[in-house]
Amino acid sequence: MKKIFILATAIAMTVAACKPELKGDLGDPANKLEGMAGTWEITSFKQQDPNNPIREERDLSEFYIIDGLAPYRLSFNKDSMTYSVAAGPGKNYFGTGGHWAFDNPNYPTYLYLYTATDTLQTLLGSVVRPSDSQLNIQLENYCEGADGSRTTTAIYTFTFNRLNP
Amino acid sequence: MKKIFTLITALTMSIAAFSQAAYIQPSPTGKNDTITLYINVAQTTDGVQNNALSAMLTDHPEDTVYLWTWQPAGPVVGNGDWTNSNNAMAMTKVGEKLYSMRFKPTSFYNVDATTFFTNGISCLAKLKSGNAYQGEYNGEAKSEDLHINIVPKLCDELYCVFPEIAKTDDYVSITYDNVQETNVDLQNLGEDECYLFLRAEQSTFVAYNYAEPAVATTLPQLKMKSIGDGKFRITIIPSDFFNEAGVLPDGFDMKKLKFYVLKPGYVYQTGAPYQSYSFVSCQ
Repeated sequence: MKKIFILATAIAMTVAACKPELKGDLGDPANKLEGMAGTWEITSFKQQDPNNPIREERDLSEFYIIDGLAPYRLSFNKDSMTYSVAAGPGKNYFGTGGHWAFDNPNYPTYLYLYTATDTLQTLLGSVVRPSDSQLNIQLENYCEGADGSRTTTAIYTFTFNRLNP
Repeated sequence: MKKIFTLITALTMSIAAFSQAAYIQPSPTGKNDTITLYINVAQTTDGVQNNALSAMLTDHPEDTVYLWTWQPAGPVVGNGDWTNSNNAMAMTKVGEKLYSMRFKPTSFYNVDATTFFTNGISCLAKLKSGNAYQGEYNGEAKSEDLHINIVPKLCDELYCVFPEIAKTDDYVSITYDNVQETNVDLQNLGEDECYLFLRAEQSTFVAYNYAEPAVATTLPQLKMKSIGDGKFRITIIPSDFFNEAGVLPDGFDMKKLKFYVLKPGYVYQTGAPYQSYSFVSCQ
């Protein structure tokens, strides 16, 4: 068995060696802000159970996408670093608007939404470039116990399409 | 490149074949299931890891075989020493070179269900002393390392709630499987015949119904949606759902959701079959 794994590892390394080298860089930091700029419309909403052995995920888009009703739209301004919300059906996790920021403008992992009363930390599915037409963000719902422990109860994934490409 | 993939496929199939030497039942496996782990020594391959158990059992079929396991964790009772396995780890012979042991994984390994499902079981079969018959065979008195991937069983009970742990402001889905209904008056519900009675509870004595049962079956928001195969589902955000109905007083702290299925025109004769779902306690 050990030999098989050594052989498989060797093959995997050989295959990996065939991959072309990555060229270029991640681009100008400003591009990441420009990538977010514009208006985004929600197209799907999923709930993942982080406490389920297989992390079961369910599509709850039906609560956000309803025929005849305008879905949620988020608009980001890169100059004022503000955002606004055009509410639609479904629970409003985004407030009415406020300011926004990345955790790291050069290599963003999290998108922060600062409302008048709250700060939302959302995980970016991927860095959004100006040419990208889709935005994925994840929001964890959690609670802190009396002992300071944190229990994540659900992970909500929102997918948006860019409206003004 | 094609040859490489052919070789990888062949290797994968070989590994899969090895894994048949160890398996569990039932599979898919529920998080609270007691399982039976089987090791078919006839399916093991002597010599791949300095092991010769199969040959030894061919010559000494009555020797007792012991389980030696280290993943998802070491067993709570302990494996014992390599040259003196713990008697509690003795397996039952159920066929020619086929041995079994029955246990509840979360208790046996003292791990949570997620760890069990994520890591699976790594183990081997051995004789009481791993050094038995030393010098007589080309290897130790053990099988090669074996691994069992666990296929989790999703909830298949009469009522299932998703997610497993929730706050009152999470989306919560309650699924009812009418196929498993034992109350003959509620069996074979039509698509428009399934409603849910809901009660928010702070304590046994501080609780509020969303609506009385006779009224509940007239409210479209309490109608469960047919999702096929005899199953019905309703998804709500409990705090919003009750607050919008205006049935909860200020300061009410929802700890539990109580619920059961209703059918228009049907009244439970012997007490309603209350189900209970507790919300996680937050600071």
